Amino acid sequence: MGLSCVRQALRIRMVEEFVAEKYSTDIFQSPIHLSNGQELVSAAVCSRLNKSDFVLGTYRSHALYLAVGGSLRGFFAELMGKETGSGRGRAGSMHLSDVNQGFLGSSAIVGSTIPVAAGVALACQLDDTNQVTASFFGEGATALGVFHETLNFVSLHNLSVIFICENNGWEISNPSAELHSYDICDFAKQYGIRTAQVKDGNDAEAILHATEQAVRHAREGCGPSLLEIFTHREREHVGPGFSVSLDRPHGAFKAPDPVEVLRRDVDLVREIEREIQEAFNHAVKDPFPDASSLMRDVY
Amino acid sequence: MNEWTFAEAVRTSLVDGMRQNPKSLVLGQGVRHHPAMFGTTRGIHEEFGDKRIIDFPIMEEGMTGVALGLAIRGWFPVVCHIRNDFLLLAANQLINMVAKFKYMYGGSLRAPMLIRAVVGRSWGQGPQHSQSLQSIFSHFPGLTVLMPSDANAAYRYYFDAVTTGDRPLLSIEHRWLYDLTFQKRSISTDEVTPYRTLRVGSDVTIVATSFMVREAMMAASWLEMNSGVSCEVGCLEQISAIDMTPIIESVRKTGLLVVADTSWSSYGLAAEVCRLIMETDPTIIKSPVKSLGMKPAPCPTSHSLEKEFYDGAAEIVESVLSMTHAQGPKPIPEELAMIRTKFRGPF
Repeated sequence: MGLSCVRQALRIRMVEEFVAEKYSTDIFQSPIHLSNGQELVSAAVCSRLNKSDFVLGTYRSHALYLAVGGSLRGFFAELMGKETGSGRGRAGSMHLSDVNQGFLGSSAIVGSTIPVAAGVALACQLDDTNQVTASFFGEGATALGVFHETLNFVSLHNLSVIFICENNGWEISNPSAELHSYDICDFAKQYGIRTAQVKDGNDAEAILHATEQAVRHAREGCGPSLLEIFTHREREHVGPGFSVSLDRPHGAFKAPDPVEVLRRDVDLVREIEREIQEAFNHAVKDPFPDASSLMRDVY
Repeated sequence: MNEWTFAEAVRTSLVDGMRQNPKSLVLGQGVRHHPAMFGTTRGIHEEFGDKRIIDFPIMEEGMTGVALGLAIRGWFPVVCHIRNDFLLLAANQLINMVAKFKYMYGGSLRAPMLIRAVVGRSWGQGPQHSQSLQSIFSHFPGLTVLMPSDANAAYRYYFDAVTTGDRPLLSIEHRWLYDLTFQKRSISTDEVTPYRTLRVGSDVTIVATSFMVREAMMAASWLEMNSGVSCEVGCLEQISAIDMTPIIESVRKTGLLVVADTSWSSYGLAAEVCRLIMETDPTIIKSPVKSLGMKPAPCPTSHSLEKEFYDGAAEIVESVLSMTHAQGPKPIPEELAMIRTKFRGPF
C-alpha cells in the first residue's frame, strides 16, 4: 500500500542527489533548496490527492513538483533556465509550478503562498466543487503574521485547505526550538482547526493515514486541517552540500528510512537512473529563451 | 440632469461589472456595511450577497494573497483599501507575488484583479492616513497603476477591469473627488486614454493627476482671465509605464512644464516625467520645471499647517506666473484655495 509513494520518494531522492552532483558544473544556475530526507512527505501526501486537487509550495519544492507528476525533463530544463522549463526559464528552482498537475505556484518568500492557498480554496467553495488545496510550508513560516491571518480566515470560511507543515527542525542553521515559544498544533487548534501530528516522517503509513483523514474531512465540507509532519533535512538550507544538522539529527525516527530500504532494489535503481539521465540529456539540448522574449508576460 | 458624482460612477461601475461577470467579487474591510468605502460599495451587498461581497478581518497581506488565489482560479477580485497607507501592509503580496506572478511562471499563471485604495486628505488625517503611493508602486514592472481623475473615466476603467480585465490593476482614488459632480457621459475604452488633454493652450503645459487636475483647471481659468496666460492642461491617469507621446508633443509646443501631483516630489511623478523628457528630447524644456504636490515632510495633523503642506491652484498660479514672467493681481485670491476647506471629516 505504501510502496508507490516510497518509490516516488526514492525517485525524488535520486533526482536530488543527481542535481547536487551536477551543481558544481554550473549547469543549474539557480539557488537550490534540496528535499533530501523530506521527500516522503510530498510523495505520500500527494498520493492521496486527486488530479483535480491543488497544491502550493515553497522554494523547497522539488519533491512537491515531482510528486504531483511534473515532467522530469521540464524540471531539469527549468533549473537550467531553458525555454522548455515549467516556467519557461523564468522561474528556476525557487518558483516551480505545474498548472496542469494543479501545482499553482511556489515562492522564494517564506510563507507567501499560504494565503494564496486560502484564496484558491475560497474559489473552489464559490465554484461549489469538492476540490482540496494543500499548502506546504516549513515550521519557520508559522512565525509569520500572514500564517495567523490565513488560519483565522480559513476557519471563518470553513475552507477546504490542508496545511502541511514540514517540520525539519531547522531554520537555515538555527534549531527551530530556539525560535518558537508555541506549539504549532496548539496554535492551529485555537482557530478551531483540526490538527494531526506525524512524529515520524519516515512512517509512510502514518503520513498516508493522516492525509486521508484530512482530505475526507475537507471533502465532506468539514473544513481545514493542519498536519505537522516531523522530518529531516539532510542537506544545507541552500546548495548541494550536507547540513550541519547531520551531527544533530532531528526528531525521533523509529522507522528505518524506507527510501534507503527500497534503494536495495538494484533493478529499480537502474531504471530510475536511466529515466533521470534521459530527461537530463533532453533538457541539456533544449533551447534557452530567446533574448527577444525578455519582456514577454510582464503585464 | 445628467450628472453623477465620482463615487456614484465607481459604485455603478462595480454593480454593472459584477452583473455582467458572475465570477467577480469585492473584498475589503467595511465593504458590506458603513462606510461602504465612502458609499462606493453601498447597496452591493444587498444585491450580490455574502458570497460575493466579503468583509475581511484586518489582514491586508493575507487578503491580497487570498485575492491572488481567487484570481488564479478565474475569479476577478476587487480589493478595497480605505486608505492608501494600508497598501504598505499588503506590499509583500502585491509586489513580490501579484506583480510578478505572470512573468515568473512564464505566463501560465495570471493574476487579474483590481485593487482600489483611497488617498485621504485634511481634517487632521495626518501622516498615516493621507499618503498617495502611486510612485512607489509604479516602480515595479508588472503592476499597472491608475489614478482616475473623473467619473466617466473611472466608470470605464472599472467596468472593463471587472468584466474583461486580464492583469493586476492598482487604482488610487482621491477622497476629494468622490463628492464632485461630473456630466455623465459614456466613454469607450479607446477614448479613455491614459493621458488626455483637457484644456488646449500655448504658453505652459500643466500635467496633473487625480484631484490636482481640478486644481489645475481652476488655476488655468484664473490665469486666462487675470493674466492672459494660456495653459494647456493634461490629466495623466496611468502612472505606471507613462505614455509620453502626448506630453512630449505639448511641451514641445509650450517649452514650459508644471507637474501637479498628489504626493512628494522626491522620486515622484515629476521626476519620472522629467526623466522621460530628458531621455527623449531635452531641448524642448526652455525653463526649469516646477513640481508640485506635498512639501517634503510627513503630513501634519494641525489644520493650520495643512494648508502649508499641500500645493493647490494658488501654487500652480504662482508657478506659472513666475515661469512666464506674466503679471497677475496680488495676492492670489482665497477662492483658489476654497476647495480645500469644504471637507469636514470625520474620515
